[in-house]
Amino acid sequence: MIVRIVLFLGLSLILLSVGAMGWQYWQGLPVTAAQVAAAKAPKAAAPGAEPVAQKPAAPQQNWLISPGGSLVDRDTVQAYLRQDRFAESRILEARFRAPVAALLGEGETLPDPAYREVFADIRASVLSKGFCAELTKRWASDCAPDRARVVEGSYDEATGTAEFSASLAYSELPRGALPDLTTQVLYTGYGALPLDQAEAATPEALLALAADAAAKDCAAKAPDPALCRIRSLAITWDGPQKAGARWQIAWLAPLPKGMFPAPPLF
Amino acid sequence: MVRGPVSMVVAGVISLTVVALVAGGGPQVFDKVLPESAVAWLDDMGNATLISSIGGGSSTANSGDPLEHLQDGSGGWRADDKIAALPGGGAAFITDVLTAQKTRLKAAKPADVLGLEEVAGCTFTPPKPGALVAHARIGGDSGLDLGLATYGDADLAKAMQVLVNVYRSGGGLHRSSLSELRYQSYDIAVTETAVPVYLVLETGPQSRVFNLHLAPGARIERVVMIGGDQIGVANLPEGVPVEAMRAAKAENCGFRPFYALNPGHLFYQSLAAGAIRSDEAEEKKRHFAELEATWDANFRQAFGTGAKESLAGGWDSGTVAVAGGIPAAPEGRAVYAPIDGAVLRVTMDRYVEFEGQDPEQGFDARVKAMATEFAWGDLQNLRQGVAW
Repeated sequence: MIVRIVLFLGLSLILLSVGAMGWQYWQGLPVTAAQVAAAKAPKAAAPGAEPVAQKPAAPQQNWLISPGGSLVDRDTVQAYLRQDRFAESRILEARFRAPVAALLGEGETLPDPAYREVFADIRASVLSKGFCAELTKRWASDCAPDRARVVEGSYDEATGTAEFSASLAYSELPRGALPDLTTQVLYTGYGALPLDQAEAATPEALLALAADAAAKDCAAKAPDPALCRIRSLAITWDGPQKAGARWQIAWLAPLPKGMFPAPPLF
Repeated sequence: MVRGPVSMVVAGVISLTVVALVAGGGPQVFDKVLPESAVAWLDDMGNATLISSIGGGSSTANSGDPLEHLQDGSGGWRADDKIAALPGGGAAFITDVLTAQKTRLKAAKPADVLGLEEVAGCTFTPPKPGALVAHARIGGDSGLDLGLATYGDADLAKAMQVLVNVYRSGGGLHRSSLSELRYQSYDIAVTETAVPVYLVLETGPQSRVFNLHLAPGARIERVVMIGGDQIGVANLPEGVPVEAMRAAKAENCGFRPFYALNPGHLFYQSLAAGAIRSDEAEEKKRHFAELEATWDANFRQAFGTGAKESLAGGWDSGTVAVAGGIPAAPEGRAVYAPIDGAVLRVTMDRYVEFEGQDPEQGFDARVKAMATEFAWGDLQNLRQGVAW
């Protein structure tokens, strides 16, 4: 009897292993052109549904060359090219002080002081929504809070404020078709609004200033502003006199004369 | 036909038990597996054995030097559960000073728990002439956890933050534990019977309950307690006044207990390993000596005797300190007074909770209820993150 049970269990394990290997092989098969076309075909919208903004399709090429001739790092390429989705390397980082009372709903009152920091931490994501609004009314096609927290030990009883840190993902509105990427190099540049010169009354106002300044920076530096994108933004706000912002932009420009691209082997 | 599998099952159970005992850190592993009542029953069985072995008035099991049970650890002197601290740096076997001892106290149910207020000012009532000032200190973990815990809003907020962090990191619904908020007991065996005893009891940062055990004929003039997050006393004879000053207030009042570090302390280990520069070490030693002298002077001013010369214990671990000496006859030992059925007088935070209390009204339930309220009625709202 025991021998039969052992044999049965052994055979079951073999069948399971073979099945798993087969499934892995099937998943690893190359996708055919017909399958790609079927996946890209727009689905029929339901009657009465809101029209959805079309996101730009991601380019097939997943590498770019720097002006020095080397490959651009993967994060920067992702942040620049993949505007059809959020990218971990294309984020807004915000660190700011705000009143905890701003997190209260209608008719709610603040909890006892001992709980205010954890209360603020639980509800911190509420404050991120204003940031997304500032970006989407300018050059972002989509925006979503990824992480919002209170900085540990930052609750100030005297002012009723706490320091928050938030990161938000965004993608940019399409600005026209990309050229043949093999004929382009990717430049990157940095810009900043210095601390205590921003003079923004709120963190949202500071972000608005930074978003506009980054867009202007793009226009000033890129030969074709339509090929410039804002790779990241960071703001710090601890009152109008203690505020600053910095950003990184990236833009495409034609290959310098005498340079020829060599695609990566892997 | 059946005997083979049955033997295998028996062998497997024995093997698993042995593995669990080794991996789980000895017999204490039962604490995690068996219900508290079963553990208490097993402990009572053990205590009964101990009491019966001592009952004849003999302590033949004790041999050798009690100080062999004291280890020179990196965090301080560490005593095992065999010895009690004597004044002047000595030690005695527990069975020579105390009739019995219980070491599993989580299931113990006191008859009453009364609130104790701290002293109003920064002074204590001094001892009367003729009284013996008996001074004991436990710096760290005695291991005698009570089922009684106390906590306030700060503890609830801290536990709520842990719950939020665990939940957000995908760890599910964290169960908040009272383990760090429990009072811990420390036994004081009063063997002095010739004169009244004025007890000065010090503790490190834990919440501490000093459980008093008196030898027949022993009298206590007053109990003074210094230190701890919360502090209290059990089995205090009726009518004996008690004064308490918790660590935070003691610090503000200039009561900063400090004693010379043991030779195996991390400081001296670091010095020997060359991790501390010699000039820096000399500076630190001067600072330590200054702290020790200041504390000794303050203690003398308050109680009429030096802190170091009167101290019993001051160890980082251990379970008993003696007020008095080793009695000449077994009948002179302190009579063990259990926490079960005792009256406790303790300083306490906003909430007091017993082990096994209705879970719906307990610490964990409070934490979850408040976190849920803050999260707009649903803990799912704590989740964050973008699908990249």
